[in-house]
Order: sequence, then structure tokens, then C-alpha cells
Amino acid sequence: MNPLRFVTTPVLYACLATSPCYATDYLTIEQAQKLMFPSAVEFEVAHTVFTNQQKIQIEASTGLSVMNRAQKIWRAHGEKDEFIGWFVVDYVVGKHMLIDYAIAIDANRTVKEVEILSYRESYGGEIRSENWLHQFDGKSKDSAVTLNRDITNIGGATLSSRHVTEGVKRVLATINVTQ
Amino acid sequence: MLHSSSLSHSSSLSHSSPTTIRRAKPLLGTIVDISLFARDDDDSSLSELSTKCFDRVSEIQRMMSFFETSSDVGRLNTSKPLDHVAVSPETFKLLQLAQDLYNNSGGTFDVMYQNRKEFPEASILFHDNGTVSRTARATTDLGGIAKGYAVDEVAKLVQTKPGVSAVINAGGDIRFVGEQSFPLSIRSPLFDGKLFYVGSFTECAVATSVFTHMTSQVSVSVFAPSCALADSLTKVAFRMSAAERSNLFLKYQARCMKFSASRDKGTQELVQ
Repeated sequence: MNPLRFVTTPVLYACLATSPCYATDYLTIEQAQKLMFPSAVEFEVAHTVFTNQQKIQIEASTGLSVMNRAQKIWRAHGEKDEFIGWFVVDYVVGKHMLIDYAIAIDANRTVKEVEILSYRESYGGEIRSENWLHQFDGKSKDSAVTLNRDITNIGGATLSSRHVTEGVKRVLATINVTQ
Repeated sequence: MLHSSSLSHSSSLSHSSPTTIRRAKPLLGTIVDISLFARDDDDSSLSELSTKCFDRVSEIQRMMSFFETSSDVGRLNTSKPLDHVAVSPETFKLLQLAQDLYNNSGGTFDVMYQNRKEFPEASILFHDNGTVSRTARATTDLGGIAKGYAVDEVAKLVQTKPGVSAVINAGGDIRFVGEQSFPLSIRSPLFDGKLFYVGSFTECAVATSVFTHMTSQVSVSVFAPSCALADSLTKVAFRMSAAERSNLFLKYQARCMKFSASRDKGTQELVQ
């Protein structure tokens, strides 16, 4: 059976639509591996916990802070056991909650593809709290109205996609430092 | 903000359930989410179609990105005024649509908004050989229309496959394609982000933008024949009153819905 095959259940649509918090699952790790490295026959587990020195190196080369010193890495091998690239699963904080995503990096250390695996979103307390609303203060001093370009907007994904972009940069540096 | 209800995957088999593929990628400065539903049990071609759809969005990003200096838009923005710049036929057409919207909205929708104060007369010239020029050093940003355009182009790809339905969502620019109908809800700006169910739609294009002021927020949703129009007209609908925009919306066959919320007053309402 094709791993990308799902069967939908219409009843669940309605339940999730009214839920105050939901997660959207796109692909499992196995599905993403097959999709991003179609010619791979083996994914060798190469999960890494890196040293403080390596953490400092990654931070210095990207200008981004490293929150987690562990990285889930798989080495993809082709039919003749040749190495074809790294498959990495990482997560970043989106608007409020975590986004899981997968990155395919080829043997030349170039990012081949990015797939979102799971996107969680909450719209409950954070939206109502004063703290959350304060992010808007001072953003509109120059213009009467700010089109939500540089702030966390409620429904859009501008900020979360920026965080994914930063995450990809950090993961590439992690591969370069640890592999 | 508007979004389609979450779609869920289940392993339970049911006789009438369609085959589905749902993927999302960071593109166009947002997360582009495409769900495909096949009436027939043919998931290998659905997987292929899904890849084609994302490739098409990447192609549009390469042509129209504001940030990539090699894109059509990037090269236009670094060109000398009146120099002819070769652009793809698609960028040419979309720039023309943007110019029409600028003229028809009395300058309210403006892809040159960044330097409009400095260059009030700036515009784009369209030449017969398919090239374009800018009349002044004003910067063009297709950010307010290109996402909608990309959604339309993905919809076209889906339409080439009979029996396939789709939900395409690029950061709030949404299209439903095919014979299947999908539920649509608007998330109100404040108050727990409660979802307001709008209805169930087939073949629908709708875009939502959220505008924020010091203590208030307005969410504007526009339904139009295409997502490029819906995307661009959200900005017009926010700035113009219902009376001011009525002719324009009639011309483009667009309809609008606004949610307004005020933190000071602690109120929110569906404006129109």
C-alpha cells in the first residue's frame, strides 16, 4: 500500500473545527523519508547529541540560538549502499506551538526539500491575554494601520514560516558541524 | 482569519471515503497547505499531482519573489527607470492586473506602496515585446496578490485531473476545487479566536487578511472568482467603505465580510 494513502473520516472534520486547539498531521517520518529520498533503500539512524563546543560553533555560524542539543538524523543510502544524503527531523515554535518538519540534505550539503510533518495551533488563552495583545502596541506608531507583516497574526503563518526558515539554517549548520 | 476545517486522516476503511494526500511546505513566505482528494482509488497519481502542485508554487516564488534579486520582480526593482526588463508572460499579466486594480481602486491597491509618497506618479509600462519598465525608482512588491495567484495556478493543475478535489491554502488565501464541498469557517480576531462557520462550499476562492491598529483588529474576507482578486481586494475592502467600493466589487464580482474587534470596548462584531 502506498504510504501516502489515507482514508478521511468526515465526522472528524466537524469535531476538529470547533476544538480550541488542534494539530494537523501531514506526513509520518516514514512517509516523508520515501517522498524526499525516493531512491533510498535504507535510512541509517545517526541521531546526535552534540557538545557544548559544537553548540557554540553552530550558534556562531548562524547567529541563531540552539535550544536543543540533540538532533534526529538519518543517513540515507541507495541501492549500492552509496550515501545519498541526510534526513533530519527538527521542530521550531510557530505562532505559539511547535511545528515538526523534515529536511532533506543531499550529499553535497545542499538543502533539497522541506516538508512540514505536523502543525499545532492553539487559539485559547494566549489570544485573550493582555500580554499577547501587547505585541501590537507600538507597532503602529508611524502608520495608522499595520498590515500584519511583522507581528504574530492570529490566523496567518508569516511568523511560523520565518521560524521554519531559521530552523533549516540551523539544521544545515548542525550537519556541517557534527557530520 | 479564514481557514478550512481541519482534515483528519484515519486508518479505518469506509466504502465511500476518498483517497487523500495532504502536504505542507514553507513557500511564499507562509506555509502552503495542499490537500488532494481522489474519487477513485488511485493514490500514486495523486502523490505525483501533489508534487507537481508544490513545484508550481516554487516556480511562482522564483518568478515573483520580492527577496530574490534574480526574480522578475527583483530585476524590475534593480532596473533603471524606463529600461526594458524581460519578465515571464505570467509576471507580465499579473503586473497588468495589479495596475488595473490600482487604477480601478483609486490607488488603494498599490504594488508600489513602499515608495508611493516619494513617487506619486510612478507606474509600470507594458511593452508589445513582453517587457516592462518602471517609470521611477519605486519598488514593486507583488506580496499582496502573488500568493492568491499561486493558489489559482495550483487550482488549474488540479482541474486537469478529473475526479480530484482539493483544498489549497496559502496563509489564508484558500481555494476549494472539484466537485467535493468543504466547510469554511472564519476565525474572529479576538475572544478566544472562536470560529464562525460560514457555510459549505464547492469551487470557491476566498482570501482573508487581518489588519491591526493600536487596540483593535479587523479581519477582512473577500470571496471572488479568483484568489488573486480575492487576495488583492482584501486590502481594498479594509480601506474603503461599502459605498466607496460597491462599483469596484460589482465589476470584479467580489463580496466581502468584515470582523471588527476592539480591546478597549471589549466588543467584536460582524461588520458587513
